[in-house]
This record gives sequence, structure tokens and C-alpha cells, in this order.
Amino acid sequence: MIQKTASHVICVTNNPDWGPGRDGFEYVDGGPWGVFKRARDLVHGGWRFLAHPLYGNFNPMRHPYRTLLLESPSGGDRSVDMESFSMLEAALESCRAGMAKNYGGESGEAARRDFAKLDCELMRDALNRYCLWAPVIS
Amino acid sequence: MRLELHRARVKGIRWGSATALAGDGVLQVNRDELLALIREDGRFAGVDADLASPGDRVRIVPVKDVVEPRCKIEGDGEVFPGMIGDVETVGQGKTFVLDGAAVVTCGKIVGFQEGIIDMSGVGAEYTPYSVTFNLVLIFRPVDGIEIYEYEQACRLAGLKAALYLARSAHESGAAADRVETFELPSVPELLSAYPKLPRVAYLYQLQTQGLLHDTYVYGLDAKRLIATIIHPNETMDGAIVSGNCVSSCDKNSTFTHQNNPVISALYARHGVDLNFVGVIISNENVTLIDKRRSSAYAVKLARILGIEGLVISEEGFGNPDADLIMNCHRAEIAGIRTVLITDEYAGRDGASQSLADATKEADAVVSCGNANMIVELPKMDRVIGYTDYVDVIAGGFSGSLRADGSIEVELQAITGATCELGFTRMGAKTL
Repeated sequence: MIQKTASHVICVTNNPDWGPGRDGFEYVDGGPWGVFKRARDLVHGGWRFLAHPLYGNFNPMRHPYRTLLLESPSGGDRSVDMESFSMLEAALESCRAGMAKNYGGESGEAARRDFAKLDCELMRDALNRYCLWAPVIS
Repeated sequence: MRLELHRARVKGIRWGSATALAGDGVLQVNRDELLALIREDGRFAGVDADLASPGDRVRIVPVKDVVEPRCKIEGDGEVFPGMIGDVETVGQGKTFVLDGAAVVTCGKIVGFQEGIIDMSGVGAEYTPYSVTFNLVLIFRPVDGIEIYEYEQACRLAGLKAALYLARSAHESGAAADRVETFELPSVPELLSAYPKLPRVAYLYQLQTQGLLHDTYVYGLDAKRLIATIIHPNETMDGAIVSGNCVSSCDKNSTFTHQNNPVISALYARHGVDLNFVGVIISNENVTLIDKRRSSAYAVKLARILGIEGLVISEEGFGNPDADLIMNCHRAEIAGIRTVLITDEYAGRDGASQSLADATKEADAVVSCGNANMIVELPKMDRVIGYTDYVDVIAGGFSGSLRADGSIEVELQAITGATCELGFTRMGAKTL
């Protein structure tokens, strides 16, 4: 376990499977593009990614849910973390490519449920490490 | 360690009363016996089996894994250690191979599926599994089973079937047509063996992001590993097994882990123009601290071994690109020259950014193809599996599956089409 308190870490997500009202979670309405846009605001404010935003072997626009884990700037230093900035820009570029190719169409309820579960599973370990308790969802 | 691969060539496949390799090279399979073995696992509500041969007008979808039938005939342990047998070290002695046969596992695990193998037509040119004689297992889970459990059941079934075929054929008296020997001595001997040749190692990145994106080493989930050394012969005995079902074009199937062409090529050039010192395995986790740990540790191992050149392969795209580039950067800074093996997601016209990360030190890169390229797959006479989700698979898009049964998809949907180990039917050689 990494010794960090949850107050320094935020999880930005649009995935309803995490459940409502979780400490350290910020829910975003809409698709993955909205989640990346919120992360962009945070990265421009000095936050940095703790997990790679392009997890999962999907174009992000093909997967309706996205959960991003970021850490607040320390000691009042708001300078942009260039590694996070670079990862974010690559993610946004992937989103744009996916949108241009008409990814992200309606996939049906069964697929939606499985996408939500898979999103949780891919990020569960990462969240647990940073003390954002992530349940096993069956 | 010294390993002999005793290869018996398979020239056909058919159902029969006993599982054996017939004198004409046709692999005969007792269907009932095979299915009874697979159905021992109570996690399946149904299992079916089918056959597909090169040139058949058959489409197999959705493919989960492909496994080459092998069994140990001499030496410690059994193939796929830690998965269907004990964890004794493998990679020594003799291993029997049904060369030209494959077990393909197929079925729905989640509500979006992928992985197409066409046995003929345009699609067949892109998948290495269109030229193998395939025994296909099609699964249906019991109601209410958890996804992890079901994925594991499918994975183990493929391994069991592969071992069953090889063991049965060998016990029926099948003889090898060809014996290949692979031997690398201890590190001190290697380091002194060819003092004038560059010391080269292989950094083998394993997909380890989580559910449906996992790889196992001796049965251990590789996301829990710190970078470590594996003897190349161990991979040939199935020490590395795929649990990765997502992004079929660049999924490293168990078959490719058993037949890694990077390892074969390094063996072939060992003592000729390089000194092949060994293989380092590392992972592709989600958190950045894991990436830094893996990369730092892998490069440290290379430095301890005195490596001068490192071939690095990845599995997947996006997140794994960060591991690939980090490994390259750290190795180059440490004075180790690198060659990277990847595929590209460069847009349908090939003009977009190929990888999600880059570094100026990555100046020697092998591309295994552009996964975004569009291919049109003709209607087949028969489908093994299910086409329900072709529109939402990785590589598919709205309207991919047409009413006439033809499919327009990106190369990403075709199993093994851009394999980042270079295990593909298309390529280029410098003459």
C-alpha cells in the first residue's frame, strides 16, 4: 500500500458502477470525452496522473466509461507536470481519432454493463493502492 | 539449459475413433473423449468442438486464445506449468510438438467480443492461424458465473485440450519429422563465449492491465511480478500463458508465447553476429509507479548482465506504449542500444500519430502493421462461434457486419494480424 491519504487523490469518472457518494470521487456526466476534459482542467492546474489514462486495449471512444486517477500538486506548486500533460494530449488525440471513426455507438445494455464492470476491474487495483477503496463488483 | 523440440508435422485434421496422428499426417481426434475432458470443469453449461482447415470457407469468431499442442516427453515438469500442472521448472529435456495444429478457444465472455480468424479469403492472409489445422472449442458458461471464473475456465480448457492432443498423439506412436535443439549455457559461460560479439538480451513486456488483459508466468499473475529473468527455453514449454482477450490483432496468444519469433531469431544469430545473453520479462501495469518500478528494475538487470543491445517488444497499445518508451529511454540513457517492436494505430490512412508516447532515443523501431487499416472480409459459408457483436468489437464500427454476412473492419479485429512479436504472415526482410 502506498502511504498517501485519499484527500490528495481524486478519481474522475463517469462510471456509475463505482456507486454514489464515494469519498475522493468526482462524477462527470456524459462520455469519456467529458472525463478527459475534466482531467485536462486538473492537469493544467498542476495535478498529475497516478495511473495511465489510456488503460485498457480500447480506443477510449470505444469504451463508454473512463476512470482517471490524479494526485494534487504538492506544496502549492501549480506548475504543469509535463509527463501528465503529454499523456493527456495523447489520450485526447485518441479520442478525436475515435470520434472521427464513429466509434462509441450504441452497444446495447449487456455490453454497457460489461464495459462498466471492466472499467472498474482495470482500475480497482490502482484505486486500492491509493486508499480509494474499490469494491469487487460482481 | 538444453531443450529439444520434437516436431511432428500435421497435414490435416478430422474426427475419429481414437486421438492419434495417422500415418498420412492427419490428426485424428476422438471428439467425445475430448469433450468429456473439457466438460469436467463444471463452469461450462455447454462446450462444443469443431474443426477448421486452411482454405475452408469458415470464419471463427470471437476468438479468445490460440494454443499449440505440446507435451513433455523427457525432462522436468509438464507444459503450461502452474496452469494445469505443477510449477517445476520447464525448458529442459524433450518436448513433443504437433507442428501445424492449433487449439482455438472461442466464445462470449463479456457483451463485446472480438477476434476473427478467416480460414480463406482476404482475412486469411492477415492471421497466422489460417494456415494451422484448428480444433475449435466453443464455450457457454453456467448462469451467474463471475467473469474472472469464466475467463479462467476458458483459458484452462484450451491448455488442457492442447496437452491432450499432443499427449494422445505421442502415446499413439507419432514420430517427429524434425528435431530442433535450443541451448543456452549459464550466464558466466555466455559472457565469455563470444567476447567480440555484442551482448544482446530481449526485454519481453507482458500484458498485465487487469481482467481480460492478463498474462501468467508459471501460473502467477504477471502484474504481481517484478521484472525478472526467464530462460528462453521456458517460453517454449508454455511458462508464459495468455489471459489477454482484448485487441485481438496485437494480443500475444499462448501460441505466440510458445513460438516467440524474437527468441527464435536471437537464437539463430547467437554466436554469428551477436551474443544472446537472455530474456528479461516485465509487465505493463496501469499505475505509473508500477511502470517506473518495472522499467528501472528491468534496465538494472540488463546492466548487471552487461547487456549492450536490447530488443524490446510490447503487447497492446496506449498504456503499454508508455512502458515501451520508458524502457527504451532508460536503457539508452544507461548506454544500452535498443530496438523496439510495436504496431501502429495511425488512422485508416496511416497519417496519424502511431503510438501514444515517444522519445527521441527510439530511433530503431520495427512496425508490425497499422491496426486501423480497413479490410473487407467476404461472407463465409460457415461461422464457428457467434457474430452478434461484430459492430462493437475493437476494430469494428457501426455497420461493420453487413446483411449478406460480409464484414468491413479495421485490421484490429483480426486475431494476430499485427502481432507485436512479429508472428505474422506478412513482413519484410533486408536482403
